[in-house]
Amino acid sequence: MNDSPPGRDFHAEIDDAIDTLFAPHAGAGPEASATPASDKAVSPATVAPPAPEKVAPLPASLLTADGADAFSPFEEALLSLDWEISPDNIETARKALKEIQGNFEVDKAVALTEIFALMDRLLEVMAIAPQNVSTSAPKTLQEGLQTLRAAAGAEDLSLIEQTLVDPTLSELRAAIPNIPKDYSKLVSKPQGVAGTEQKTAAAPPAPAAKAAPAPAQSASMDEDLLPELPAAFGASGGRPSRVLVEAVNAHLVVLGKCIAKRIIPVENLFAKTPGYEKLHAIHTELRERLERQKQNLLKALGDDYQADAVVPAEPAKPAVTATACPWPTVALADVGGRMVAFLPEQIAYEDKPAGKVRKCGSFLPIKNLKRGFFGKIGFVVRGELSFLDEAILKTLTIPVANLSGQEAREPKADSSLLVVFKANSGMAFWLDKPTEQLDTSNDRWEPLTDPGTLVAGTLTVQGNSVPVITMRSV
Amino acid sequence: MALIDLSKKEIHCKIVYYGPGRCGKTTNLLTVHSSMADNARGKMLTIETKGDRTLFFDLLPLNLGKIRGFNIRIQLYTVPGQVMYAATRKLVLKGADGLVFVADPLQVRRERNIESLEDLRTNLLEYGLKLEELPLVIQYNKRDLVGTPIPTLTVEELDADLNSVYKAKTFEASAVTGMGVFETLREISKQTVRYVTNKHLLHETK
Repeated sequence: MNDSPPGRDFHAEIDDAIDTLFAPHAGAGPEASATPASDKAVSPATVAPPAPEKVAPLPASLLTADGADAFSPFEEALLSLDWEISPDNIETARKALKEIQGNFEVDKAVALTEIFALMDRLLEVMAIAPQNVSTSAPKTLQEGLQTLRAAAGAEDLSLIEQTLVDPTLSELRAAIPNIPKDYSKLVSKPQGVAGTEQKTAAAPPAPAAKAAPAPAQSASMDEDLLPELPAAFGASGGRPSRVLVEAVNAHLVVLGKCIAKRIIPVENLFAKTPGYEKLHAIHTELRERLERQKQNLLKALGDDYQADAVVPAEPAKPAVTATACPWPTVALADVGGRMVAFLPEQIAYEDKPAGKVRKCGSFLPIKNLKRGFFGKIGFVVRGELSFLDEAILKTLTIPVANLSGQEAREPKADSSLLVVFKANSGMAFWLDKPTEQLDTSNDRWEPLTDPGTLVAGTLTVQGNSVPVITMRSV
Repeated sequence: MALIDLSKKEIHCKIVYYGPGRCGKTTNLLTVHSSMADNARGKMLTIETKGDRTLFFDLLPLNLGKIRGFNIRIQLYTVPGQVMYAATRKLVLKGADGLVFVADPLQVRRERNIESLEDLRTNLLEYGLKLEELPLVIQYNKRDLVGTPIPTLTVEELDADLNSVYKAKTFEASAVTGMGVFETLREISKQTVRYVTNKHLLHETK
């Protein structure tokens, strides 16, 4: 009977149903040889573990004296981290990572700099701000480790660059959260810098440049992106490739110029600008890091350093013709019978103003431009001028241009007023007719370098020489 | 607690996979889900973070079919193993009819296994349940690591650590390869359905 009360047979039927449901899967596969480990049968020997995945043999530098894998300590440290993110576990992992890095072949260590740096950075961030790190960070580190392992055994790194190195780099970058610089212990490692390093250093690998294992360096919070190389290139028994040496030398030249001409001036500027203390601190740190990096590269180059290395010429940019106007469009106008051009972005006002404005003479109070008693100046002006406070606008007075050089007289009744304004400098012009946009692409341009004039250069428009008036130096 | 609807003749049993973080609980369920026929399993619900950790639980209902007119469904759950999710773990454990404790055999996880089992016992006590009275199967997962350079615990060591008191059935498994996954599930399913029917159905139909 179908709905008879359950009893002993009922349980037997359930067992049968469960067996039927799961039996096709249990023990079906070649590796499904699980046995009850206890309850009458404890026999670990009966379980045949699958053969470990075959991996390329590691170089001797990454094997310990007893033949063990140098990656194992880091792997174990990651497993501990996987369970608990604690300072001890992180420190252990970082030490193990440094150990691996120190034992890598020089050329590979250089090429994999960014992976090492990002892994270390991720560990660092886990120590400083674990709440900001994804729970998958240990897995990401695990994948980084697998890539390092593959790289160690690879004969040619370029073979695994796209399949392993690049994806790993992407994952590591994605796993590192942005941590505010307020974390005092955190030393940021800008991706761009690291990327540049790797690109520069990832030159063809040195032939058989095998490094002697270096003593393990204790990980410190302020270590630079570049790994502490085991020794100078030439001191490890093999010679680095000429291409690599030249690339690093050239990089050093560029790095020096970058520090001297870009970083330091900006750092100094921030230093003396109130409110830019944070940016100053960032630039100071960036400079220090770049200088450390330079020192590391110098150390790595050893005798191969060439202070006068030639930087490879960059691909030639398409030459800018001397006749090309720097502005794609200008506003063409007639002023006092002369055709002139203005820059559209500098035009703050163009209209036919009220009668009292026409009587302003040689100076125009900006407040006169407002319409109606309750109107606001800010509503009638545009561009930079419109960003100024109303109170400031009320106080501004700008000169009215007199291109003819004759005594100022009242403009014609139908003339328009044009105000140009840029960087706290402005000037008004009475136009014979409203401006027209002009595409300069077909017109010849001759720049003027005289800083004492409003004319930046002249355009030849239909055979006429048209001065382009800007507020560049007023 | 098992849901038993006599009018509809339905029995729902809840089996919870418990264990330390990253021991392979979700992998067990994924293996079951991918191996079972569509008509025997329901949709697997997984709530995850951006990464791969189960932050809440996985629920995989399995249908044993009709037995003497009773529709029997088994719901498999896992809990988040990470220490920080103690509250969620406790919540998912509520109403469990059967338990699979998934142990991690890595030597570095030895203490974690013991702590997790203790955590399980404590959480059950708070629901008025005793671990030794519930259906329990212990799975020694990741046995594929035996023989690799990664130090692992032997079955004897695991038994001594985890099973000296409870004397539960244990299975060696490798959830990633599927080895031992269904053996574990089959055993806990039998124990759990038997437990549920003994505890509820037989009493109520007397």
